[in-house]
Formats: sequence, structure tokens, C-alpha cells
Amino acid sequence: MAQTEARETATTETVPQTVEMAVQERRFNLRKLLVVIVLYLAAFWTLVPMYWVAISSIKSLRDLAHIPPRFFPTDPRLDAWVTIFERRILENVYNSLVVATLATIICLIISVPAAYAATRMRLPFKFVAIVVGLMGLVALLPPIASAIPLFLLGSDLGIIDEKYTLIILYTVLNTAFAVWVLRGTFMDVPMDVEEAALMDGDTRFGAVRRILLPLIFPSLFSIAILLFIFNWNEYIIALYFVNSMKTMTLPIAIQAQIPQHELDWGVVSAAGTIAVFPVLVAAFTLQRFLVRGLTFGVASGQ
Amino acid sequence: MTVQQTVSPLPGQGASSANSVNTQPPPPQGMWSELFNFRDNRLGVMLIVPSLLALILVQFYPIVYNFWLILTSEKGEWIGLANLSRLTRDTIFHGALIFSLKMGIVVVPMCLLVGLGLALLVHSDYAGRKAIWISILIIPLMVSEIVAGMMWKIMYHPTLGLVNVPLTALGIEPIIWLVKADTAFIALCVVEVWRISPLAFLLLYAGLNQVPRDIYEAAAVDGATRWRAFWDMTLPYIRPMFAIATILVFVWSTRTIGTIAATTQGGPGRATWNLSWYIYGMSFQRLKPHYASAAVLVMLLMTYIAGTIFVRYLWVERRSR
Repeated sequence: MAQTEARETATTETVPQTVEMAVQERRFNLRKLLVVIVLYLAAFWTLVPMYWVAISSIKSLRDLAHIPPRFFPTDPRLDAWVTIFERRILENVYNSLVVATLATIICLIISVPAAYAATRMRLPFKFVAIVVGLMGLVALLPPIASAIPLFLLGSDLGIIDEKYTLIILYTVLNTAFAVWVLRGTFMDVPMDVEEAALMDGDTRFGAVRRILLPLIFPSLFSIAILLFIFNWNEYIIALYFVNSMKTMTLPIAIQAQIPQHELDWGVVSAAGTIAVFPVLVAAFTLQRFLVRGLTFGVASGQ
Repeated sequence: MTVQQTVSPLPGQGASSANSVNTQPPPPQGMWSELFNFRDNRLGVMLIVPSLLALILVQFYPIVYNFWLILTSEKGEWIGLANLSRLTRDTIFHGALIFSLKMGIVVVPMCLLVGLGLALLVHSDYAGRKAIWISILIIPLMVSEIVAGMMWKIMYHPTLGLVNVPLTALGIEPIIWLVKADTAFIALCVVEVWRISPLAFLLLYAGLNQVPRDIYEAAAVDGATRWRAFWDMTLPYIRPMFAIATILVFVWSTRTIGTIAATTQGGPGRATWNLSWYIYGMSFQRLKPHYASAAVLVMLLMTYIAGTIFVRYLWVERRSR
């Protein structure tokens, strides 16, 4: 909304009526130029490491050894990509996909009802406040703090190095965050419509299915993508719980590929490019939700 | 004895009428009734319980277990506070703690500055296509720690990397960033600023969107300069977001582990050990999980202090509206 307003004021300003306004108009353009230049620099700063990794993966050995380094590869090769597939990176991608997807789905299945109950049902207020407050606090806890106890528990139970262990842990680690964000989303939807449906004799479940879910679906989708990215990137728990190729997720595989001193950077660059790809997609899908979603947590959260 | 509240709309009021009705068992008294008076809504409780269990299993159980670990030795014998007192004499731990804090102190202002600047730029009328700018600027936020570290390790590479190119162009000797303690620190701080400043940007941009536009028009009518308008109106409005951004950036930058694992592995020597790396090294590589738990406690305390401020700011903001 703010954007359209901004555009309207901008169009009214583009018709200079007096000399003074024309001067002002030119100054505004200079300002605009500066803003845009700085933004381009910021975008360059953001994207350049990613670009560098992507082209390092297709540089030939001669290009890699060239001093100073070349910004554009002269002789693109796919050797590194062939090598990374030979090192069975697809298995790691598969592991990451399975773990991240299932953990996301299960996490939503347990956190959507909780967020619903916390916002839509008459529960003792203090109970909800305490639970939700704890969840917010827990979202801040460093994952490494739970890693050691969970690892010891896992070794006692003999469930280290299993995919389902990772799925369970990722699910639970994100639950607090998911409830916290979903609660904000649910509060954003006015209750009137649902209440009207309930009055008309709809069941509670019917009201949720026919009215609430369609309304929150876009946010739900965004949260799902966000959770997926968290799981896709998760590193610390995997560090403790991954022992073999059977469970190795992409971040751990990438760490294993990082050479310490030689010039063998093409391979890890290729792996990194694979890991970053979903992130790019997510950034473009999520930006609107993130800006809105972060606001209600503070401003309209009652 | 008067019968006042046989049906109380608020669960909290039930506590004062304990002896009012004889046919029903008296409602429980005090705090517990406010907390656990669920007779109203069993379904609601059933819906919350799974996530609550998850919370207990993965967050509270480990914290409690952690205390048990601290108080026992690696062989499982009770040793009281010996682990903690050993920690206070452990110079490696001191180094790691100081490194974490130093990094927080450098990274937090940088991130806030970069974040605020970008938020103001993207929020200004001059930036067309805000959606695209935001999408690009938040990408580092979603890149895995380890991948971010790996990317920057290539960037800092003496021959492959891009960082030294402008330096050599200026005639400065190329710096081998990650092998000396002080340059490695700077290099890691840059990685963290690259990785975390988008978080500050996003939070502050969301905050700026909350500022009503008409107050600026009013200020312009009153003859306020842009600077004054920013200082006296924008900043107070985004203050809560600013607080949240500060704390989150602090927590994120002090707990980083993937970037260190990918770039320096704690080296040279132990110059870039931070708290997380110390905990990981102690527990997983040196197999002293009990001793490492003591360091976890220090980290939790740090997070707890930051978290209290975080919750307080959220709460204060809510009450005032």
C-alpha cells in the first residue's frame, strides 16, 4: 500500500510548474541516482560471493591458476560438475530433500493446531502467554546448547546416524519458531467471518477448513518454505548426528569437500552452487511475507 | 457468605469464590487455577500439547540434562562445581569467550549501520521495484552458514579470490587473510556482516513500513528538516525493531560455527576459536561432553540475558498499544 502511495506522489511531482520546482526536480533526480547507485553496490556486495562460487565451478584449471583471477571464465569446463556427481552428491541432495521436506510437513502438522488454539480458543490467558513466551525465548536458544544432551541421549538409544532421527530433531527444533510465527499469522485474520460461520451452524472444523485455511494459505506456504530452508541449511545438529553417507546432508557434504590448501576449488564450488539454488528461489518467493510477517509480531501482536 | 460468581467468564476470577457452590468441587486456588483451568476447553489443550511436548523434549530436557552433565565428570561421578571452576582457569575457553564477545561488539554496530542504511534507501521513494531489491538483499540470510563460509574462503584465497584483486591494483601486497590472527578476525567479521546484516535490514525495513506517512507531511508543514524528522520521528517509531535487531544480530554473530568450520577451523593456532567452536571441539573432538556443557551454560546465560531484553521490549510495545 505504501508503495502505491509513493508512486502516486512521485507522478504528481514529475510535472515541474515553476523554475524553482524544476531545480528541485533535478536535485531529486541526483538524489535518486545516488540511492540507486548505492543500492547497486549493495546488490553487488550481496551477490558477488555467489557469482564467484558459481563461476569457480566452471573454470578450467588454467583459469583457476591464473593471476590475477579472471572475472569471466575464458574456457568453461564442466569437469568439476562431473566430479561432484561422481562423488555421489545426488545422494546428499536426496538426504537433504527428504529430511527437510518431511520435517517441514510434520512441524506444520503439530504447530498449526497449537497456533490455532492459542489464538482462537478460550484458554487460560496466562497459560497461553507463558507457553507462547517460552516458545519465543526458546527460538533464541543456540542449537549447539541442545546438541550435546541430545547426542548423548541419541547414543544411548542407538539412533545416531539415522534419517528419521534427523527428521524428528529438525521438526522439534523448529516447532517453537513455527508456532510463534503462525500465531502472528492467525491473529492477522479477523475472527468475525469464522464466528459467523459457527453461528450458521458450521462445525468448528468446517469453519477452519472452509474459511480460515484459504485465508491463511499464502502465509502458510511462506512459512513452509522458510522452515524448509532452515532444515535445508541446518548444520550443527547434523554435525553431531551424521556419521556416514547414509544420512549425510548437503551442508556436511560441502564441509567434507572443502580443500584446505590445494587448488581443488571447482568441486566444492559446484556443491555450493547446488546448495544455494533453492535459497535464491526462496528469497524471491518469501520477501513479501518476511517484511509483513516480521511487522505483525511487534506491532499488531496483542 | 454471598454467592457471587457461580459462572465466571474469566478463569482468573474463579479463585476468589472457592466456597460459593456446594454441588461442584471447589475450583482450585491461586496461580494454578489461572494457569491450568482447562475445564472450559479440553480440545484447545489437546491441540497445544504436541508442540508443548516437542518443546519439552528438545529444549527443556536438554537444558536440565545439561546441569546434570556439568555436575558430573566424564566417568559419571558427582564432582560438584569442579567443571565450572576448571572452566574459569581454562585459557582456551577465555580466548573463545573473548573472541565471541569481540566479534559481537564489532559485528553488531556494523550490521545495524548497514541494515539501517539499506532499509532507509529501499524505503525511500527513489528506489523503484522494492520487491526486487529486498529479494536480492535478503539472500545471504538464507544461505547456510557453512556455504557462506565456503564462499568467502574462496573469496579470500590468495590466488583464486577476489578480495585481493583491488588491493593489488592499488599496489598493496596481497594479504593472505586467513593465516594470521588479526587478519583472520577481520575476515571473519566481514563474513558475519555479509551474512547477518540482511537480518537487520529486514527487521528495520519492516519497522520503517510501520511509520505512518502523514506524520512526515505534518513535520514538513512545520518546517522540520529531513534530519530532524528522521531523528525525532523515524527513530522512535522503529525503536522496538531496532532493539530486536540488536539482540538477534548479537545472538547470531556470537553463536556462529559454520563460517569458522568452513574458513579457519579455529586457526591459526586457536586464534579464531569462538564459544560454539570451543563447545564443539571439547564435546565432539576431545570427547569431553561434561566439561563442554559448562561452556554451554555460559552461552545459555549470554542468550538468556539477550533474550530477557528481547521479550521485555516485545511486551512493553504490546502493552502500550
